[in-house]
Amino acid sequence: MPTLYLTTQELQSYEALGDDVKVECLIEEESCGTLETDEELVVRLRLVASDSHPEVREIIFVILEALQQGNELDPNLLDRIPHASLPVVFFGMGVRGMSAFVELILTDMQGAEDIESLAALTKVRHLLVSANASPLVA
Amino acid sequence: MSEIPQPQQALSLDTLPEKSRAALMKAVIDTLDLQEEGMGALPTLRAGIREVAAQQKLGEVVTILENDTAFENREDFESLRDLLRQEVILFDFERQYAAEMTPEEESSVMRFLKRNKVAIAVVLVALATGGIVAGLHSAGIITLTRLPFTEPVQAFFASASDTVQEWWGSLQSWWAGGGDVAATDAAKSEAGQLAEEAVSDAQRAYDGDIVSEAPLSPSPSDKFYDSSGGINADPPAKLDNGTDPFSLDDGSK
Repeated sequence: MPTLYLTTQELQSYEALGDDVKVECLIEEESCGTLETDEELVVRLRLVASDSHPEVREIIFVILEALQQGNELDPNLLDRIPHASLPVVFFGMGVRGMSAFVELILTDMQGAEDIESLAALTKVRHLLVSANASPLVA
Repeated sequence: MSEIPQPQQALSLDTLPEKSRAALMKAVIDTLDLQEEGMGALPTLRAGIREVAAQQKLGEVVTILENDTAFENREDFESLRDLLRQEVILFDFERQYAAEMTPEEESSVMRFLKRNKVAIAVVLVALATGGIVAGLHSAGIITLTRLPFTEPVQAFFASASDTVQEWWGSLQSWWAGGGDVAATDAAKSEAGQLAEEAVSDAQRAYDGDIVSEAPLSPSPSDKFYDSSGGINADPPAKLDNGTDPFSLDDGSK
């Protein structure tokens, strides 16, 4: 059974969905913890684009080059993000950016399969919330 | 409105000033008790930071750094401290992600992100913004009219929560490259005007009135350096030694 980690506002949006897209699931309240400040987000984005993550950095160069040339961004660029690099991308988005995805999917629920996607997205965000409050950080 | 921080010189473990790097290496060696092997026991400095994190000793490293006279000013120490914090958060997140996320769940996330136009645009723009704040390109290269699926993107963020709107607003300010609150407001205002133009263009296109615009000319210099300006375009990023990373002489990215 999927678990949804939803904020109060998101829960309202979820409950307003039609029964044709909802399935039986567990719902946990998501507080989101202390959100990243803009200063922290800048540090993260730099880290994501650094030499420490060459695969992501390469894709960033491709995106910037397309913009430089005045070309439209290719939606298929997402396919070039290696699976191993996905956590890095989500980390760069931060809890706030991941919340954008959660709110977005709640506006675009097309079927029960999307509940799985919603559950997975909220899980990623929940793990990031946990990492933001990590006891490993001084 | 609180001032949105504007990206300064990009700082990462790979681009640390020499004194900061030396101080950090010493702190890691001392904390991990690597006096004999030194950093040779670890493949990279980043591996050392991760080992510090795994042993929950970041606090010790930060304390050593704080007392190190190698830092010329408090700002240098704080920048390094903030970087280390994010490195450790990433380490912990990756560890939890690997332990908790199943391949099916990950596929489920990507299935949605690849299906939804707004999600695609948001990911690509966030990455591009990362490149700008990291100094890989000057600001001003992203405009709302150049985003894929501009209209649905704008519509989504117009009705999103305050948290999400503020996040998007911060990204916009960074890619517009304003230097202070007034410039940031101007950039947002100009971005807002461009958004309106984009919506108007879309409507005119629907009505069959639009005349297609010629594509923007590439920069006459290195392809990654926009010398033509743009919305509040910043001067090119420079490395710590003052060299221009986009100079044709070194040819490096």
